[in-house]
Amino acid sequence: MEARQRIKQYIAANYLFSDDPDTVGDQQQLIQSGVLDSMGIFELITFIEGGFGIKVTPEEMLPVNFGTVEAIDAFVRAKQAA
Amino acid sequence: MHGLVALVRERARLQPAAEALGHGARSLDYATFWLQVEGFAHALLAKGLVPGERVAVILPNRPEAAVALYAIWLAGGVAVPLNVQARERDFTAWIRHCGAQQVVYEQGHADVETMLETFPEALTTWDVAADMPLPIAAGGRFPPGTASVDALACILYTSGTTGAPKGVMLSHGNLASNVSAVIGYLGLTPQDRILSLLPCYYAYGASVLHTHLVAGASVVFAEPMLFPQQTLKALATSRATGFSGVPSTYALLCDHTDAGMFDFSALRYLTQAGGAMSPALTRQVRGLLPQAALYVMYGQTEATSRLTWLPPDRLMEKLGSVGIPVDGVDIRVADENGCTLPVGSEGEVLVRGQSVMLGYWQAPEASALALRDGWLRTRDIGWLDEDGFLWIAGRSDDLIKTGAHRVHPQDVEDVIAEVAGVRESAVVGIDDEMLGQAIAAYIVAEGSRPELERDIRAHCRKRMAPYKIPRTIHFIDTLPRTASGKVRRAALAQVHATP
Repeated sequence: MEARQRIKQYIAANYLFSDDPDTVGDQQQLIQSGVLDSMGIFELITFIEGGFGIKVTPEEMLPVNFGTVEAIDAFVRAKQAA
Repeated sequence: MHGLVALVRERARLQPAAEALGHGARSLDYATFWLQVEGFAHALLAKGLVPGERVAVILPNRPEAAVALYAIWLAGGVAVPLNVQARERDFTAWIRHCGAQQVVYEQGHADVETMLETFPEALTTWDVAADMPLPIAAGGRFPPGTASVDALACILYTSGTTGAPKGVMLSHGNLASNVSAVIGYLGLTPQDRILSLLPCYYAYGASVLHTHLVAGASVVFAEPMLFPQQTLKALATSRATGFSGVPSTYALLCDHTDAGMFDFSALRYLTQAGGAMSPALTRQVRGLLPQAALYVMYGQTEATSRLTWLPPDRLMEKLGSVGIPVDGVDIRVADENGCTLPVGSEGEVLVRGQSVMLGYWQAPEASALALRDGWLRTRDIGWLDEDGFLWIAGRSDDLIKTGAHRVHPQDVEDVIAEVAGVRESAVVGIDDEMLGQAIAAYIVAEGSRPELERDIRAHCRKRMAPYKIPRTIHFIDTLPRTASGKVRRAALAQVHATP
């Protein structure tokens, strides 16, 4: 399964309590819409670090990297390529 | 004693060009702030506000939250700040209970808008767009206030929607007394500048706002802490002299930041309240920001905000204590009959003083239970040491303290009961390193349905603020009960604590 789909599946299952990954849109604002709160972001980061074998530094914990599924996907790809 | 309106108005006269409020790129000096307060007060009056009328304020941390509060008071109204994270069912219950005729909220708040559509009576609404000021009406300057300090200033709801909502009634005198005490021990001056993440609809956040405005200092509003490194960066770049947080705020800062790259030389004080902070985390905070004095505090909404403070120079000597009473507050520890216990004996913490509430709004029975012979029953269990320092050991009721929030189990249980397949449930707080307590739900199901847990979570998300959603859900055959049939929540919490 591609990274974006895994991220959507995780968010849908853990924050929206749905089996359907498309419950969350690629460009949906995860923070403003209330899907992610402060604890949720850290759970998501833990999932990403474990699931994609990357390390997220404090400086990388930014809205621009975690605001949407699209942004998270791009961030994961960039980290994996680095 | 002067009320907050008179005190802040005087600040606007004395230091009109000094920054009062900041938010993102916006900055309001005291003169502008007060002009907006007067303008919105006229707008409220033009819509028929009468003295003592309640006005609901549903705004996140932004300058308009402060403008609205002071305008309501200037116009003679009673402010009812409500939690912006609440859902439609909460807003409906609270507004019906307090009888607000006017509602101030941020444009696009779906739950508020749904609530307003279903309200049978027409309410006057003020929907304020992001980064825009509140509307103002002409009317000139207000004369110096003559409002009584005994008059009701605000109602703060401490519990939700089921049964009887508990709205803490605070007078102008309550607020002014507590503000004066806090300014005294923090030593606040017009040179101070605080980065405030705490929402103004909670007593702690309101205390931060009012103390700094009365002192002529500056309050820089920031969003709730989602990205700790960003918060730390804002703390440094804003040249803040102060910062306030609850234990989970400090835990996130300590665990997910790199403080080494910032200059915190302006930082003078940190305050902590909103639940007990572990000695280990206290040491971590001291290590993270050693240049700032750390003020550990304890309080209750029913006592306006602050009841005790731990002088920073005695922090390590008294680590784990919440300190000594603030000015104007007396504290004693009593047994179940209300008799004072000797030093070192554990009992219920009782407090009295000018900051103790008037009672609960339209709830005389609840008020009589909480206020006895001039003393407020805090429901906290604690003890005083030989130096007069208070130590908190726990709660005598079922209230759950999770992060900065207070949650009554019944609120959550009532929502869970709406899910098909749930026979009964019990909700408890279990110890949690980050949150202080995390919410756990124990469910007795009707038959076996694999998707029930997901359905419960989805329903809770739809009906309640995110912080009320149980972190863990456990299915059990029966709930433990006392001989009289009452659920033994403590037994459930104990099972979870010692797996």
